[in-house]
Amino acid sequence: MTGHAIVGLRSVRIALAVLICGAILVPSAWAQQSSGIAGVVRDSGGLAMPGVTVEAASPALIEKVRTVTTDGEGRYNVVDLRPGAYTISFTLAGFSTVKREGVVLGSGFTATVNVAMSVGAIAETITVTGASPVVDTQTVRQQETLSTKDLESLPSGNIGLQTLAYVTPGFAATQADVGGTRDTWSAQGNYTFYHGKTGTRASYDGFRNQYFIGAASGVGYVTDSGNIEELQLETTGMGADSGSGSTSLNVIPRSGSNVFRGGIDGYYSNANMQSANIDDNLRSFGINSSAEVQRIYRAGAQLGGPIKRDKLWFFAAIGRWGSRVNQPGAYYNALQGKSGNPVTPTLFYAPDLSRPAASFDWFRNNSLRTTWQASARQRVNVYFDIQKSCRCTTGPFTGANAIESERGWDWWPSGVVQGTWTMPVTSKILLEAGGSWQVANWVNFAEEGVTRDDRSILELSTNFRYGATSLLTAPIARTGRSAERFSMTYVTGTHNIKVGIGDEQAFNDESRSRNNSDGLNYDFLNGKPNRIQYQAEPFLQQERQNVELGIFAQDAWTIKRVTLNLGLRLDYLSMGFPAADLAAGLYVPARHVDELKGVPQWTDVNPRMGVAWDVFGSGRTAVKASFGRFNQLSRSDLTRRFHPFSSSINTAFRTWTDTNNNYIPDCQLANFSQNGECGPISNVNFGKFIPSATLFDDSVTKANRDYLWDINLEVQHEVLKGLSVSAGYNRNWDGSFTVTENTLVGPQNFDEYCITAPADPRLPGGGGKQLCGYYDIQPAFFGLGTLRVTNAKEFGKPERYWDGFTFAANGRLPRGVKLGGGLDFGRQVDDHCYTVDVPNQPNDITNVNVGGPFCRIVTSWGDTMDFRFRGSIPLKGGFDASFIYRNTPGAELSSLLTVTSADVKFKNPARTTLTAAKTVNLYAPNSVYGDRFKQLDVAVNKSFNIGWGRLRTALDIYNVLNGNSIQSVVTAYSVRWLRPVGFLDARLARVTAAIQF
Amino acid sequence: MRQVLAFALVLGLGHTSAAVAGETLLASASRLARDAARSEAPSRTVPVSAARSTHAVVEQGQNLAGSGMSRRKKALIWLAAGVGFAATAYTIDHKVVDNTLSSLGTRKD
Repeated sequence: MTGHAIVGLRSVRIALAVLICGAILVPSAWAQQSSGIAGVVRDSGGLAMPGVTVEAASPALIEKVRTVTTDGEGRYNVVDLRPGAYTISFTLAGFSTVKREGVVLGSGFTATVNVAMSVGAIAETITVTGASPVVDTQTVRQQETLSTKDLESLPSGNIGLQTLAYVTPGFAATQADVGGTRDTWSAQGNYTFYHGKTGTRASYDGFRNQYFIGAASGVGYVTDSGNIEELQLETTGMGADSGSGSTSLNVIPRSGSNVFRGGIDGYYSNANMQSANIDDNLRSFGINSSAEVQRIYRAGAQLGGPIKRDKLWFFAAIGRWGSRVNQPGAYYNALQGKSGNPVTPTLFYAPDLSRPAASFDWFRNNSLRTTWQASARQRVNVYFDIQKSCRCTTGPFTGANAIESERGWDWWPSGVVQGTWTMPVTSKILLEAGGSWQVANWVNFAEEGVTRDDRSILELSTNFRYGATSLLTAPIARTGRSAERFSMTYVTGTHNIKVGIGDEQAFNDESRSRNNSDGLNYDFLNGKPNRIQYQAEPFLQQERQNVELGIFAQDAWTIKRVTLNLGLRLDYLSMGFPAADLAAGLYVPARHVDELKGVPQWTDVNPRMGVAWDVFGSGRTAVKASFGRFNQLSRSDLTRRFHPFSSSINTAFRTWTDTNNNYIPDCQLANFSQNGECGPISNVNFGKFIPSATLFDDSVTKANRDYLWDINLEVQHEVLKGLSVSAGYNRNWDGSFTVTENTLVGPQNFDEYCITAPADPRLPGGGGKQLCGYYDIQPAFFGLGTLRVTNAKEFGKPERYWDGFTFAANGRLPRGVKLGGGLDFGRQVDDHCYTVDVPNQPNDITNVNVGGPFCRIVTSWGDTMDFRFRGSIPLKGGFDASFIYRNTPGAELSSLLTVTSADVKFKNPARTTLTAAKTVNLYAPNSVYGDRFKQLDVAVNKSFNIGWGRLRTALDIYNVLNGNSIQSVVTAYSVRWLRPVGFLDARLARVTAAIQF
Repeated sequence: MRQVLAFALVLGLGHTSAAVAGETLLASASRLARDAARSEAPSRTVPVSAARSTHAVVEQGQNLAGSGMSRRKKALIWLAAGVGFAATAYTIDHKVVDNTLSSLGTRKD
């Protein structure tokens, strides 16, 4: 490991050097989903007018004006516009000039502006004013945006990419944020599921900013809200220029201009600004206190302006923010380190009521963007952000486990360097290029009061963990990614053709260890030792994404009132791992792997098609249809499974019968046969370095990239100027599944057993009935076998699909009123009813049983009903009121019962004992939900003109109704079953002040 | 109780909107419809430069650079803002509990 430590320190230095040099040198660039203005110019007789000069002018454009001319059909198309307000002028000799003012563009939106020109003097100008178009009649992409002003106005809580998902119906409800009570890192990664689809792509300025760790997709770069110009979300209908992932979130960053502008902002809240929301229901579960905010704070500063007017600009932002929130019913362990046991200093948990336990995090961001107008046509952006943070309790810490079982993340050094280059060669040809490099170090550390002699203990009856964290990702934990892109856009009035190429690389280095150096955790059942959990140490996991190449071509082809969106994308992905050595440990020999590339190696062709119809030619009503094939987000889980360090059996357990009640496993721990108090190891291959312990079929490594098909139909209509309503239907389904089989066993090697469900009125039918369909491997085969990962179609036809509807309203009304939101609901079917080893209960890629024995899980229309609405209303005297309301599905109420031999009855009368304690579902997961989740947040803003700037103050009140909607519960059937582990935090006021000058 | 609060809030919001607009909700709805109807009405202006986007004016807003103040005064404000924020950031950085391994100097990677 010493070698790795040296490599690590060098890497850190190199990372810093590259980060700083990159900020100066990176010449590359990229373009995010840009906006545009398009339409048709006709004369007063309705005939198309070719050759009309169309100018789009805006303060948002550094070059101030973009000019195109109409084609033979009178069409024009101005692309690659930044969000902002535009004035469009139409000029032709012999005709009066027409000027359309106040066209406000959000990101990724193509506004239709059709005009009629009449004969007259060119010096005469006809000015048309009106609300901006709100129906995009050219693109089939379904999207939402939030601008800086929206984010300032709304009670947005912890602002980041997730803010847009938070207000968009259809995103699976996760733990809510009440004014910043949720830790920033997990809040910013809170966007995973939309319409049952996994894999939302998250980006900053068009570059993916997620880390590269297994199947997870959390953020690898945490965004400072002071850098956000606009948030952009695409849910369906994305074009061929979109990479892996079927839903996309993007931050459009702020940049400097010719005017010096600065701002300082901050917010604060503490316990004195919070209510309590404990009611009899919560008290009945023994919860007598709600989360108590110790502090939520932010201080940010931004400054932008010219370094050299019209040539070089900068924008700098610094942010400091964090939170400390006592969690309900969470206390430090009064018995920590006090057992007196020579092997395990902490054996039991008892709350120390004088020491409440808090979730705790803080962030420090320091960023700089420079924009260089290299020539009349070429513009270069360079951006970097260096951040140090502490996710001091792996979040979201809710008190579901003891604070000692948490772990902190030392997020340093971490940051991002990005560069973009754009060049409109002519009014018809636009070139774009870009590059990005991002790294996140997230080394784990143990919580306060935990020594390296402590070990993690899981009480099975309550699923409560204490003593120490179950796993430390340390001393090495770093991940990052880089990307390069180039594209060319050719625009006429009729066509908007874009071709491009992009590549992404990524890496992950991650060592893992148990807190105690012997690598053992314990499981207790009702306070008595039950199992010993082994882990092979030392352990290091490394993955490399060598290539993720995407080549695409697309065209938006307008024929009369119909725009065809035609696209094709070729994706090629290749991953692997570097050579590495690991020293021998207590239970494992020394290990070595050679460098390997091409696992997996996948090539996919993804068509993306759509049609948008401007029904009346007025730009106010559109019918859209799209279908497309989307690959799952690139991620490292398969390479991780393949890596010989991982595919060897690194974890296993054995039963432990503590006959002498001394809480010391009296057996030879390195002897994996039954001896003393210890049963046989659960896998005979544990601790052996057997790269072939898990086999991978070519159908998985060469031809089985996860993908889904997405179909969307939508009608959108502008009912009032500035306000659109829409109705849509979406169907998506997965096209590829991976399973793990044991090559030595089949269904004949499993014995079915039954259990008697506890008599409990909260269980379906009141419980008390016999439930069968559970299986245990026959003792003769326990721990034997070679695993094989392969395509599920070898065994059956798994399905995962979603059918659903969305009704939405969005836009601006006169007098500055803004509204957005809607209703979303659907039905999801997850069907895995086929046999691999266990009858009708296949194991997934990670060898975890899916559902069993409930192989077909249907989530009903009612259980997905999701209503979210937001708005802001200007009031008298410079006041502005806004709100966000969410009414979403309640907590999923599973029931998992841990059974031992005494609790089961085998159908084979000759068999009476289980090979090990089992945890079984008492009914199908995702089929029972609790009361609906409701949250209303409001804000009142007041702006003051202070002559040389603007002072904005705000009072946000989160959870105005002081509800305590339950978001998650204990699912282990025990005395704690259904005990809320996450419920809406109590009403909280937060004050904000900002000066912009 | 919650329903009552919700009702009161909705009522309050509606009332606020109406009160601020100085008109009833019905009158407000009529006004919206009128605004919508006339929003596309063209107007003729000569010369070209006379027309100016009100939105652009709003976007530009007030700022120190264009305030007409003396350079010295502007510099003092920039300086005060900078020093004030730096002091705030410094205080936050030094008051927050920092038990990260990198700050303690115990990182081993």
